[in-house]
Amino acid sequence: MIKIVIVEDEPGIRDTYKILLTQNFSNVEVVGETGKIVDAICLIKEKAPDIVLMDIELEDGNSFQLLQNLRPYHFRIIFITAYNHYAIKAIKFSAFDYIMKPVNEFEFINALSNAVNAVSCEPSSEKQVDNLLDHYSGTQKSGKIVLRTSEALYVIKVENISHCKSDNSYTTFFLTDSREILVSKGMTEYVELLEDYGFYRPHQSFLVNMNHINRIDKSDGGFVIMENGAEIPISTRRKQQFFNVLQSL
Amino acid sequence: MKTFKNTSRILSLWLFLCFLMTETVFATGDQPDSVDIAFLERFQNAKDNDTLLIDALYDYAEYLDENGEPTRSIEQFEKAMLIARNCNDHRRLADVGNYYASVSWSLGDCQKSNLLYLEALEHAKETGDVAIIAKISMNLACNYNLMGNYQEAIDYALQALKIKEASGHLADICYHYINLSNIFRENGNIPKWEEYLNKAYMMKDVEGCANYVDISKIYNSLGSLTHERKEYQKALAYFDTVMQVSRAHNFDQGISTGLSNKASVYKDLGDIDKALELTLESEQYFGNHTYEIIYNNNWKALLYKEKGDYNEALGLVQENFDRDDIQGYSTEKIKTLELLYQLNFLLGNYDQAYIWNDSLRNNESRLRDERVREAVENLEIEYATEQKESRIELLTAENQIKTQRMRMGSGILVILLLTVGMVLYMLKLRHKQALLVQNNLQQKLLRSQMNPHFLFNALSSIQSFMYQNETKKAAGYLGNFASLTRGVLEYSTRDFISLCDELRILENYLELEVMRMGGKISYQTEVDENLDCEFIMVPPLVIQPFVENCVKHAFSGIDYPGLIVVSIRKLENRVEVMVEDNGIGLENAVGNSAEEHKSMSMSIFKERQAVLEKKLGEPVTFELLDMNSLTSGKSSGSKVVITLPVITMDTMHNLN
Repeated sequence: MIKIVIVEDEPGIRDTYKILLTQNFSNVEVVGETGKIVDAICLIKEKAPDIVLMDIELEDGNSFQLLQNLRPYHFRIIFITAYNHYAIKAIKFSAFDYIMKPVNEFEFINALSNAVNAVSCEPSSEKQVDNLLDHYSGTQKSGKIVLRTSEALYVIKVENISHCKSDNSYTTFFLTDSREILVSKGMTEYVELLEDYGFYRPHQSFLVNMNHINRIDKSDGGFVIMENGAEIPISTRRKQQFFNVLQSL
Repeated sequence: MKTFKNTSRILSLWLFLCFLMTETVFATGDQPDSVDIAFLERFQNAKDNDTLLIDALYDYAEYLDENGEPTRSIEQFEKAMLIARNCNDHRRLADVGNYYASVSWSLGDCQKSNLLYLEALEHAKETGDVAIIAKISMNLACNYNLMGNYQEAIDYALQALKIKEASGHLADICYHYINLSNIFRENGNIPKWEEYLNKAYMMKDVEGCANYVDISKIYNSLGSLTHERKEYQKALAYFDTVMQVSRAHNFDQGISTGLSNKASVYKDLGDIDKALELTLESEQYFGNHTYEIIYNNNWKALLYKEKGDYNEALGLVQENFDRDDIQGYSTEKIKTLELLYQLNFLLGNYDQAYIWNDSLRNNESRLRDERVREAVENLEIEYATEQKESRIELLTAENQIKTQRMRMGSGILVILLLTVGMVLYMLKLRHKQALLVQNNLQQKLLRSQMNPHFLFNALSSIQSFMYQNETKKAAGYLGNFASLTRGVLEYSTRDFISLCDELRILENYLELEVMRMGGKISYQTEVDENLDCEFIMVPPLVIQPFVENCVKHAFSGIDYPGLIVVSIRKLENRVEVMVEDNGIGLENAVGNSAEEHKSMSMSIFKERQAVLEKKLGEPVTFELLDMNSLTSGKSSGSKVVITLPVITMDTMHNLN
């Protein structure tokens, strides 16, 4: 059985999760639940769960604080939050799973089944948590992003990304050292995150790091030529704006 | 034309008098001897000072003239003139010369009088004193008038008037009007006589424009005019007025003139005896002046002639004709000649009569010359035209000034309008800015109340009730949530809501929190019974942030039932709101939870506090109290005290 701990301050909502779990998963078991950070540490250490469903804002504080005290991690974390822009950004940078409140049953099941399937191979890593806290505190931007593929977890410096290419619900990251990383998430997940780091989207399917542009080829409707030689098309509708942004650099 | 001649005498008499009037009369009540001694002393004192000496001589001469010694008076004047000429004192030469001339005239020396006036006029022009220039000119005009030289007379008179009018100097203006009017009357120009007489009459009551001599003259002239028109009773009344005015001021010449003019009216009414009686009465008031005597002789001769007493009459006119000084009074001379001719004729001395008649025609032709009259009239017309022109010039200048003023006025108006417009614009801008601040605040308020976290948590709670099949609870929660949302949406855009509405929102909110926390906490609201909560207005959602803070932070980790008490009471003219809890207390709460939201609601409150205080002109306060410090030190919760000014519906409208 896969053990689950729920950290959530509202009893009613805890009940909701339990109901959803029992209705959709036969191989899971809720081994503990709490609404307080203080209790959560003991509870997790004691029960050693495989998955922790964790609300971010708890009545006695922010649950990110408690992560520090739980190393090493032998469980996967699924964050649950009503609304917290900064937290969500940090979660995304660190490739954690998350669910928004009030929960959408489909999303809940999706996130849970991902976690359940991956339980055996990879728990949440310390690198992930470090990155999360780094981004959330906002004081020192490490400038790193966690990319998770089916087989590995990469922690990449944002500055080493040359550009991204979208392919339906997959995104390929092209790094400056010629590596390519394929992630099973749509590019839209990353646009908002990376735009803060000087990335621009000259075309619907491409996100480029402005620092790695070699030149602009204006023939044939225009191309961005990256330092690694990659040619990226420029959408006619974004052309003017893109040039404006380039000039303002 | 008897009245003309009659008045010409009066004219000259009064001419002299005017000067007497303008100067102070020296020691009138004293005995001659003592006065002479006093003057001698004065001369002694003034020996080394020409100016003082001239003044002393002038005063002495005046005194002598006053006391019927014109010959001695002239001696003094002569001395004064000599000294004045030596030191070339224009002012005194003008004054002394003027008086000297008038006394000379009264003694019948018209040639000398004229020369003296001309000299005085020159000096007067040097002084630039308008009043004295005009006066001397007018006196000279009167001299020429009596001499029958009407052209010169009118010329000088008009000059005098022009000077007066141009300078806007109205003092003694009646003197000039009445004298000019008399010149026209002498000249036979009745309309002009009347015109200037009316001018004088209209000005006579204006302060400083006429003295009693002028007023007597005006009434005398009015009498003569009505006499001329054969309105005898009216004329008699006017002459009575003359005598009244003169008697009031012991003005002898005025009295004698009034009497003799009345006599002439009676003569025309056919009452010769009455006329003669009045004439004899008038003689009692005579001064020692040549003209009076000549005129009176002619007049009495005429009366005697009427009575048939030709020899008596002839004696009188013969006496007149033998005088040298009759040359200066042309009208009187003609009268004398006429009487000589008529009386000799009546007495049967035809050859004598023929000779007199001849010299009469000679003299008359000069006086009655139409050309002279025309010239005189032309002079007057010229003057009138000039006056009109100057008036037109004045009007043009006035118009120019008016247009300038109009221009300036419109300029000022434009500037004023611009300023007003700018002020209005700035006020509007300020108002807009204030509105913007307010709107901004409203939005912030709305966002802080309807913050997504609260929203989604509430929805989650509802969802959880649903999953647990607690339909009733879910419905209740949803209902409360809807009310709260509606309230916040509606009220956060208003400036004020009633205290009841605020409480309703508060209760709605608390209800939700109680349900969400599964009965871990409860609340109470206590409202002072004296508080008319429907009519007391408060800024919307002013209490709620404090209650929310309390719910969020006061009860974390407690193992007993939490309680929130909201109590509202009235303190004089303020409302006091207390939010108390039995939670962990401020000290424990601070730093233990998400400061972020707490500080946000506090900062919004502080922003609102500033805006409200500005708007209400009264303080809005809040105080956070830790109950620990007040009691044993054991945690017993915290308390927030908020005070607000009482705003009623009425005061609220005034604020907007």
